[in-house]
Amino acid sequence: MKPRSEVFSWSRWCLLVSKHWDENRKRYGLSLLGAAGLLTVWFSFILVMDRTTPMNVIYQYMTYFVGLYITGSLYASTLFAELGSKTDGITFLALPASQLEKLLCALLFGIVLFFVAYTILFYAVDIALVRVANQLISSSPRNYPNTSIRVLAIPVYNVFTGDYGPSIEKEMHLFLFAFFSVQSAFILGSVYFSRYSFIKTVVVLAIGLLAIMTIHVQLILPLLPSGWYNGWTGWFSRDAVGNTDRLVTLPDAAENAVIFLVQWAPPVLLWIVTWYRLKEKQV
Amino acid sequence: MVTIQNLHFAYRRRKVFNGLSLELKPGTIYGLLGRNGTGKSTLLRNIGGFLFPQQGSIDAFGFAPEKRQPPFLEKVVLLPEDFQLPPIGLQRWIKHMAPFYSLFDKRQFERYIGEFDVPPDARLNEMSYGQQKKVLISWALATNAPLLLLDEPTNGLDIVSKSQFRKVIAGAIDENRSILISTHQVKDLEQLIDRIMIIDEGRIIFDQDLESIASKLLFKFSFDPEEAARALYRESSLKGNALILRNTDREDSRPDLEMLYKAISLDPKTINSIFRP
Repeated sequence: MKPRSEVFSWSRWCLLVSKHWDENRKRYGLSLLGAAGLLTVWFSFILVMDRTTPMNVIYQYMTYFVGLYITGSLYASTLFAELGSKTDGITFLALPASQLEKLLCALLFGIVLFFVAYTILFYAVDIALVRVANQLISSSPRNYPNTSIRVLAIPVYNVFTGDYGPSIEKEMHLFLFAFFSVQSAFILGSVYFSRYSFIKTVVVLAIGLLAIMTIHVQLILPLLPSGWYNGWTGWFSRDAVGNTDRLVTLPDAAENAVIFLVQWAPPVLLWIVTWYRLKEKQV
Repeated sequence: MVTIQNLHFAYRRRKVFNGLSLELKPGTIYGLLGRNGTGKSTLLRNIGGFLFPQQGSIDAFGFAPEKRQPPFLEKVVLLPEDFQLPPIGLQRWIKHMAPFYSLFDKRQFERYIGEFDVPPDARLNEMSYGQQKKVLISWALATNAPLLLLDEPTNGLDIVSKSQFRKVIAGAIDENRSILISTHQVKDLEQLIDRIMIIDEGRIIFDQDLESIASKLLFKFSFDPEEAARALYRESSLKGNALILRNTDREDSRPDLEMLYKAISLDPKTINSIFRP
């Protein structure tokens, strides 16, 4: 038999994935059922409360992302929860698989499969209830309040194109891409903090966000000439008189590269830190 | 097999090992004794790669344990005192654990489970603590790992199970395998251990095999006050004074490890001086 690599072996990783699934499938199944129940109750509540535009896109958009972030971060915080206790930690670390394989297994479940499962679940409930909303609208046509504008059929919000949603999501996919970074941060938190990893990661992320905003407002903006942002990397400036507009921006290729890095570099960096932290973990 | 040199380890400010050195050889069952908090479990976790030496080195089968490489983890199996098993059936658990250990032998596992009277189709979370421990002992032995680290293995086992445990371990040892047992229950394992190591104040203060102990020390009961006065250690009992004497006349006696442990704890220098060549 060919000896398996010490860093990554596909067959060993598949065994790890199969073991994780088998030990957790009941819990995952019940959690998905619970999430589907909560989504149904929440959308039914909206359906009852908003008589004008039930299930409008903003509700769908907010529900999708709030649900994705809350359930995702809670789940990610449990992925390495074994390491918080000596007994479970030894069992986890003693399994003859490399730390990279253990990390990739957690990323598969915590990021890829969670995202896919949550999105499928969301649409299963969302599409059904948007249909109900549209039946209500077509059976009793209505106008927007104090206008003669007719309420049209509600579209299903597409999280990948952002159509009909807020412009920040349509143009930049801000929350969609930020999810992978936030989820990765919670996975790192579950390795880094032995206890209360969810709360501690929330606090660290809040402090980090506050620090970035402070640096931006207190340090970066004062260095720029008066003006405003134009897109991701552009800056419109005008002189003291206010009649000479200048647009300073990166070339398209450079801007695209910066956007790509901002979207994908943070999760990858966080995975690398998690890998090192996992290798250094002592229980 | 395993060589530990000048191991230093501390938990924050509490020093545990202060230059500990030892060697584990194949074909031996080691008994690791020591007071509470002297670092028996910490030593096992250092050898197993779950804690890292802060100074000094550990070499186990050519691996540095702290790297936790999969081939090393197949060779060194630690059975901790406390453990948590997943809420699944025994057969399913074995199905998922076995492929990670290339030398795992299912028939061997089934034999041990049978010897321990563990129901083979039970769910792990519905078993008693003692039954779960028997499952883990059976599994650890069936991995055929050349080094087993057992932390208080007889804790939680009833009298019959302790005897089954001794029988199973005695049958599982061979010239390629070593077992290091950390325990307080010296009496449970007296007939099993080949070599005794006593740990105190961060060092191994005594490390001798039972054959050598039996040849150098005499364990006996006596009402003779002169003999009692010459004893290296004595305890009064209903059967007379239980004594440890120098075995100058090469008499046969069965070492009482509990008494020996107490004697070494009181005066390690004198006892160790007897074993110097």
